Amino acid sequence: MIIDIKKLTKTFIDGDRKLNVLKDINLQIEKGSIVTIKGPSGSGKSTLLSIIGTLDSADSGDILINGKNIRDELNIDQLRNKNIGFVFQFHNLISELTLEENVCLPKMIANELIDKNEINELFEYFNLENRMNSFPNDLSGGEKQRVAVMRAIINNPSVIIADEPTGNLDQDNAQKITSLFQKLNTEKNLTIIIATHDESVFNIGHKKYHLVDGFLKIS
Amino acid sequence: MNSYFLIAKRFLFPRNNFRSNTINFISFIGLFIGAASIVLSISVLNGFQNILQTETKKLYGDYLIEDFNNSKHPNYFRDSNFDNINLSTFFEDEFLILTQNKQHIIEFKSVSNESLDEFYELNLQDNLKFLFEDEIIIGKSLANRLNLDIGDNVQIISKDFKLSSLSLPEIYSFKVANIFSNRILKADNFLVFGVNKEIFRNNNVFVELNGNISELKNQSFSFLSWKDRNRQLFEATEIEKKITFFTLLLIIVVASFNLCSSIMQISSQKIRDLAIFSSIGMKKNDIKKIFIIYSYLIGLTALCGGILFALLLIFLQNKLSIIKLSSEFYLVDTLPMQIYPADIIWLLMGSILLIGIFTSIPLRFINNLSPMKIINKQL
Repeated sequence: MIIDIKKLTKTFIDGDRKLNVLKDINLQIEKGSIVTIKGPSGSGKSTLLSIIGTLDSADSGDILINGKNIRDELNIDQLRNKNIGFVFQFHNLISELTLEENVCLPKMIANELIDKNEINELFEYFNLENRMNSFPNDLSGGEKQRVAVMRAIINNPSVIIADEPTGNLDQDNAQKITSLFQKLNTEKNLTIIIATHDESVFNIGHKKYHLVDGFLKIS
Repeated sequence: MNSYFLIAKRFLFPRNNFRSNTINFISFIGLFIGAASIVLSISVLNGFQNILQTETKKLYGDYLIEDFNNSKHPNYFRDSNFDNINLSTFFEDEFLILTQNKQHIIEFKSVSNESLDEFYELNLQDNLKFLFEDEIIIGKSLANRLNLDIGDNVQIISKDFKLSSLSLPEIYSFKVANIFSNRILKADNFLVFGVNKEIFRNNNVFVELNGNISELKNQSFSFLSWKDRNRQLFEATEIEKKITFFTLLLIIVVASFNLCSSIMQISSQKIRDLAIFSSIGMKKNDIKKIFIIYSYLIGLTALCGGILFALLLIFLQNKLSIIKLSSEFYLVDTLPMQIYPADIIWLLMGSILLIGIFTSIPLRFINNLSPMKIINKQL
């Protein structure tokens, strides 16, 4: 088991109101699986993914990544760098860096040596080998999102967390990204968690969940 | 390339961002002008201070031993061999100089002919190297005041009216052998050189030295440097240098304020990027590091540019004497400029500290950076 979530709760305070966004969430994710989560806007999907991705903290409950409780982790930034890759609705690439630099950023932050052959192969795998020195603004939306996926997988993370990865793409590009996730899962045995509104993306999950009223229910 | 340096460099030269480029350029120019102004101003003050030292040294040497007692150390300098020291032993006292209808208080300095030739730089006419006992060298201003010229005769009386056996003041006759010109500290208005020692009532011997005195430091006598002997003047120039430095440092303070606003603007423009950096594992302190590098890239480039520009101007002035001065007023006919490594080190240290302070102020918000809120807000 790569991720084990136990009795996770999260509450937001909005003035006098107390919003229980996540209630007693339990979720086990096996290595090499795709987990998809669906729910209405504001249901807490992004909050759940942020907590799993260590960008936010839960009020109670535990999250174990590769058997280690993230509460006990002293260097949470390093854990995120090594174990978690993010893909957001917007590509969120750094516009001042070339595509190659954007993709290599997690490795540079980790102070790891960059294997030029590995980068070339990755760009070839994503059919962007001719765009390595381009800047994000020179790319189409679908290409930008592919680069964002490349950046997410460059450090061989334990899990890819994708929050509405096709939300900002047209149908054609959304289909390409969905296929890409399936291909990465099959060929590279990557573990992927996707929060989505899109039914076609939702259906690629080996395990599918609905997040309703703060509870996570298997579909 | 280091990732922080790479990102800082790319943030510094954003593509198609005229506003950021303009603000950065203004910060750059401010620091450039500030650094150049400080170096140029300090170099002029150093230059004049240097003139003061050089001209003083010509008449008084680098150091004076006031309490050198000839009877206690009669042959000290003669028997010892000091390779790095050039010295002059002399008698000195105040006298009254008389001409036919004028008189003036003078400082009579009785030196050896050897010292006159090798130690003092009086730039005498006809390259005079030897004085007889009844000859003196007087300053140009004194000569003008007393209407004296080379070859004229004068009389000198001890100011405490040393009496002869006939109870009359002893009057000594001298011939003006030469006239020196050195207006530093108005010396040529009162200083008179000679070799006669009989006119002195006491046997107080003074020693003036040039060179490295470290091998004499363990002796019982004490040294007065040219700075000690002209303390008021020297301290006045030092205070002037410090005030100039701190006043012109205000240009760098203002430019640092501009740099601070530049950092605030760029960090708020790039808030999304900062959240992304955090989401891929960059520590908050490392995010701050990007802006610190960004700031120092502008700051150090501008400072070094300003310093190099000023050094170039100093070099050109010293080589080509571009700015002329009236030697009647300033002792020199070109603007003297000299800069020392210590001045540049102080400037760099002060500026680096200021830039660091003004950069760290706007970066405090990064401590509260919440990548999740920023990224989700965009959704």
